[in-house]
Amino acid sequence: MNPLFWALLTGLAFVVQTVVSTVLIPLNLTVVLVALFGRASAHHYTEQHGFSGVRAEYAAAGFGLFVGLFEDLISGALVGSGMLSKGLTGFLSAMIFSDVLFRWTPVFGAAAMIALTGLDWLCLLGVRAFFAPSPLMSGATMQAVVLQVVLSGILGMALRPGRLRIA
Amino acid sequence: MGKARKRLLIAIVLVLIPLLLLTYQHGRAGLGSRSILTLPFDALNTLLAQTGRTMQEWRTALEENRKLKSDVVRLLIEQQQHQEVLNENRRLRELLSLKQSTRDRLLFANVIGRGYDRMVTSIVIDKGERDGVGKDMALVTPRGLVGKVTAVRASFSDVLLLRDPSFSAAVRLQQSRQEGVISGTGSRLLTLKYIPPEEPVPVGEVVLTSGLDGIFPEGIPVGTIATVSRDGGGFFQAIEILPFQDDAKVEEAALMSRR
Repeated sequence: MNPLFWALLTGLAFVVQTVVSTVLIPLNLTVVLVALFGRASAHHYTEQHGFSGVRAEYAAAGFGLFVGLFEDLISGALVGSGMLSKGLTGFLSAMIFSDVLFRWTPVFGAAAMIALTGLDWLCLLGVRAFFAPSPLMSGATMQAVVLQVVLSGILGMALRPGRLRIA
Repeated sequence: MGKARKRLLIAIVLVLIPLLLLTYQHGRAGLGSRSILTLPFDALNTLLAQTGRTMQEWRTALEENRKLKSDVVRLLIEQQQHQEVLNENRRLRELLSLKQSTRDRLLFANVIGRGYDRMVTSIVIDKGERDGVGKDMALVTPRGLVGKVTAVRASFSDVLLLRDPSFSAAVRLQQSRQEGVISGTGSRLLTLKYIPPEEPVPVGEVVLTSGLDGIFPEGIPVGTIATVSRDGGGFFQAIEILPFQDDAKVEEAALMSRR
């Protein structure tokens, strides 16, 4: 494992996300980060043991929980919504990129990233609907969802598995 | 435990932990501001917000400073323009008083430049033939004589100044009524000619035009006696006159013609 690299990448993702979201357009780079970690984790354990097993999913889910918690705490929102969405994103990402289920291709990479981003938004909006009754689907929210889905798709297609290694 | 069961367990835990946290917060104000978890992030948020606010204030102060600087420059220019208008107003009032004090016909003119001819000392005024200007008309200010018109064009004219060596005018001393002729010297001071040595000429006496030259109307102030010299044993005294009007400061003046 190379925790320093992932810590730096996490910090960078939060800084970019915060700055760009404040001054330009709302971004959700953390979902891409967690999905990439899940994929890297799956590849790492597959390389080590021939199959990824549940250890990759443990690591990715833990990372997702941590990133979600961090996001909830700095955003001042209900603690738990980010944990749920990012935890599931990490877990599912590690599972679907384990090479047992699917092998990475640009199209599949994009499709998986779009699906994980959609799940992230679904969890977030679902939790808000249940626990914080407030207007959810405004035009601006829809715009942010579409924008983030497109961006995640592009990143999922562009970032090949070999480029971001877990160790 | 099988792999599928382990996965199911992870998924359940992943869903349960956030849901428990959310349920705990439901109806409460989050985890509480004193929560150990939120304290560092509250501090970080406060720091970031404070930094952002300070930077915003700094940027606002910079913009305000830039705007105030440009305002200061603009106001200084406006103040100077205002002062110019006040000065012009004062000069025009003086010219108006000249019109009220004389019976001769007056035509007001602005000085628009210095003469083109380097051999003569002259100025250019913005009135010409179509305004009724004629050759040899006297140019005066409320202070005194400035010169005479030597060339007239359609819309502007040349005025020969007192200081030019080719300028001359018949004058009279105000107290003694002694008559003489003034001439330019090329410098600020003029020469008063043809005053005999026995005639007392006190320094400071006022010199006026006499009207005997047939050009200048009578009684226009010219200047005061600056120096008087009887040395040299000539036929006349050497007298210098300081003109009332400095020709370098003329902006508006009046053309005066004999009735």
